[in-house]
Amino acid sequence: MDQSPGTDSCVQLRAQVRQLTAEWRDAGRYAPRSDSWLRSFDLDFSKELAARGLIAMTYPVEFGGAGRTNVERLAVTEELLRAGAPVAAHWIGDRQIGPAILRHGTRALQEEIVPRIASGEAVFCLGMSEPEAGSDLASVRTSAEPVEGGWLVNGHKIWTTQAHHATHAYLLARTSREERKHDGLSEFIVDMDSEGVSVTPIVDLAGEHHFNEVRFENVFVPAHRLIGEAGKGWKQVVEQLSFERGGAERSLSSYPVLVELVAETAEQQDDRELHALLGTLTARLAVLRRLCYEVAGAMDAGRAPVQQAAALKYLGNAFEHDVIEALRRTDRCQDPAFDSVFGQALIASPAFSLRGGAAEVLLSLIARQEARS
Amino acid sequence: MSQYADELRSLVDDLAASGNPDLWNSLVGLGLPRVGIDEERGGSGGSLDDLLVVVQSLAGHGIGVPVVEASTADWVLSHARELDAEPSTVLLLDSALDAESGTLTAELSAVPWARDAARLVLCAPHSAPLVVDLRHASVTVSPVDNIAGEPRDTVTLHATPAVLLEGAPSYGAVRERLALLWSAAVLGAAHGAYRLTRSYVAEREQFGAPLLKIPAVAGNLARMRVQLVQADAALALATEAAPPEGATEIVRITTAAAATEIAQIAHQLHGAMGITAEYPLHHLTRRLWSWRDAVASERSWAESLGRRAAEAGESGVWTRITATGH
Ligand SMILES: Cc1cc2nc3c(=O)[nH]c(=O)nc-3n(C[C@H](O)[C@H](O)[C@H](O)COP(=O)(O)OP(=O)(O)OC[C@H]3O[C@@H](n4cnc5c(N)ncnc54)[C@H](O)[C@@H]3O)c2cc1C
Repeated sequence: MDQSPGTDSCVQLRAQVRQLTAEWRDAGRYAPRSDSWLRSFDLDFSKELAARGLIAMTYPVEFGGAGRTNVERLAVTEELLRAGAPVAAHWIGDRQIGPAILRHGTRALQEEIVPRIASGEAVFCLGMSEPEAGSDLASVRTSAEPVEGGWLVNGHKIWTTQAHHATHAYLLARTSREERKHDGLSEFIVDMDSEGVSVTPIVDLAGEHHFNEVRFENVFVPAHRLIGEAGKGWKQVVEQLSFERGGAERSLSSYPVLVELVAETAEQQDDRELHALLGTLTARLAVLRRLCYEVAGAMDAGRAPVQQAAALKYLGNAFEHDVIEALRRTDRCQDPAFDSVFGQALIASPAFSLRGGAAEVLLSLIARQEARS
Repeated sequence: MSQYADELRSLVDDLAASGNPDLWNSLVGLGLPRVGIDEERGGSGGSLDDLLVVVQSLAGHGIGVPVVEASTADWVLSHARELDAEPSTVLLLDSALDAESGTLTAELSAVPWARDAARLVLCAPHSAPLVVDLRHASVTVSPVDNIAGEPRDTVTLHATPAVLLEGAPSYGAVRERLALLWSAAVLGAAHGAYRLTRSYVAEREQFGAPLLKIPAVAGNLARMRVQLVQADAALALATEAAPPEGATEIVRITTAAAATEIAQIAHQLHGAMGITAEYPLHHLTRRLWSWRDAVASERSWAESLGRRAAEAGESGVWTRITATGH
C-alpha cells in the first residue's frame, strides 16, 4: 500500500494539535465534550487555530489557506475531535463552504469570502433544510427571484445550526420552477446582517440552543453571491454533501464516552464480555478512520466520493451510538447525570443519524447506486 | 496491490468459470497456490498480496479448494527445504507438542484436508514447526467435514516420526498469515454472496416489479454493501506496508462481522430459493459461516484486542490506530 506523501507532516500536525488542546484544557479554557463540532462554540479558539494554519488547510495559499492535502486536514480534525475541542465556530465554513466556493465560485466571490473563512472571521451556518424539505432536499421552497443587480430571497429555513452566531449563511434556494424538482435550484452566500433576515432559537431536548429557524423576507442578495451556475445547484449540493458526510466528525461525536469505556474496561479485569466489546469497537474505530482516510484521499485526487462518504457516515453514526450503549453495559451509567460524559453523549445521540442526511436516506442513496451498477 | 493483481484475478475467474472438474490440479499446475513463495525455494514468486488476490477470487466463486492450507504449509516448509510436488496441509495448535523423541503420539482434530495431503505441518506455540508424513503406516485419518463440506479430518499419530523445521517462521507469523488469508477468503465469499444476491433481486419479480424496486429490499442490499466497504477497508489496512499493531485482529473481527450480516441478508433476500442445494448461494454462505471463525473465533480476537486496548489506555489505542502516520 502506498504511504501518503503527508505522513511526516501528519505526525507533526497531530503533535501540534495535541499540544494546543492540552494547553487550553489545562488552562481551563475549555472542557472536552461530546459533539463539540456542533455544540462547542468558541471564536477565540477558532482564531487561534486559524493563526496556526490549522483551518482552511486545503485552500490555496493565495486565499489564506495552507495549500495542504485533505489527508493532512484529516489528521488535524481527528485530533481536535478526539480532544473534544470547541470547534463549532469554524467547522461548517471550513469543511464545506470554503471548498464549495473554491470549486464553483467566481474569482470575486473567492477573494471576498475564502480568506475570511481562513482567518476565522466568517462564521457560517447552513441553510438547507426547511419545514417541508428535510430528507427530500430537492423540495426546498425558499425562492430567489432575479432583480436588478441580484436576487430577492423569501423563505424559511429550519434546524440551522449556529445561525445565531453566524456572520454568513449558505443558502439553497429555488431560482426557477422546473418540471423536475432537482432543476432550478441555486446556491448563495447571504450576509446574516442583511435586512429581512431573522433568527429564532430552537431549544433542543437537552435545553441547549444550537439550532434555529431562519426567515428571509425580501432579502436582497447581490448577484456575485451566487455560487456557480443558477439552476444547477443540485449537482453542487450533492458534491458538497460528500464533504459534509465524509469526515471524522461522523464517527467521533461520542468519543469522550469511548475514553471512559477504555478506562472502565481496564478496571474490570474479569469481565471478558466487556473486553470483547471494547475489542470490537476498537476494530470498528480503526476501520472507520481508514475509511475517512480513503475518502480524504479521493478528495485529494479531485473526486467527490458520494457513495463512500454516505457509507462512512452511516457506519460512523452506528458506531457513535454503539459506543454509548457499550458504556451503559457497565455500572457507571445508572441514573446518569445530565452533565456526565455519558449523559451528554446520550442526549446528543438522536441527532447523530439525522443531521447531514438521515440513516435511511443514506442507505437508499447507496442502494440507488447499487441498482445502477 | 501489486501490478499482477488484475491479471491474477481474471486468470482465477476464468478458471473458476470454466467448470473444470479438476480445478485444484489446474491451479497447482499453474503454480497458483505457491504464489507468495520465492522461486528459488520452489515457489511461484510474487508477494503475499498476490496470494491474497488468488484466495479472495477463488472464494468469490464459492469454490472449496485447500488453497489457504496448502499455500501456508508450503510457505512454512519452504523456509527449511526446497519444495517438491507432494501436497501439504497445516494445522495450528494452541498448546505445545512433545516431540523430544523425534516422534509424536497424538489425536489431532479438525485437520484440514488431511485425507488428500501427503504431509502435515504442525505449528504450536513456543516451538519450531514440525512436519509428519500423513502416509506413514502409524497414521490414521478419519474423515470429518465442516458445515461447508470441507475436510476437517481427525488424524491419529502413534509414535509417528516428526521432523523439526529449523529456520521456519514462528508460530505467531504462521498464525498471522493464516488469519490474513482467511480474512481474504471471507471477503471473497462475502463479495460473491453479494453479487449473487444483487442479481437475484434485480431479476426476480414480485408484486409486478423486480424485488430491487421495493425500498426495504434495496435498503438491505445497501446494508450488505456497507459491510463490504468496511471489510475491504479492513483488509487494506492489514496489508499496508507497516500495518498498525492489532491489524490482524481488526481484519478478522471486521470480516467476521461482515460475513455474519451478509450471509443473513443474502438468505433473506433470496427467499426460499437460497435454501436449495441446486442454487449456488449456500456454497458461499456455508463457507462464510465456517471461515469467519477459522484460526480463532471472532470473539477471541475481539477479547484479545480489547485486553490490549484496555492496557494501552485511550492514548495508546489512538496512537496505534494512527500509527500509519496519516
Ligand atoms: C442537530 C442537528 C443539526 C442540524 N443542522 C442543520 C443545519 O445546520 N442546516 C440544515 O439545513 N439542516 C440541519 N439539520 C437538519 C438535518 O439535515 C435533517 O434533520 C435531516 O436532513 C432529516 O430531515 P428531517 O429532520 O426533516 O426528517 P424527515 O425528512 O422528516 O424524515 C423523518 C424520518 O423519515 C425517514 N425518511 C424520510 N424520507 C425517507 C425515505 N425516502 N426513505 C426512507 N426513510 C425516509 C428519515 O430517515 C427519518 O428517519 C440538522 C439536524 C439536526 C438533528
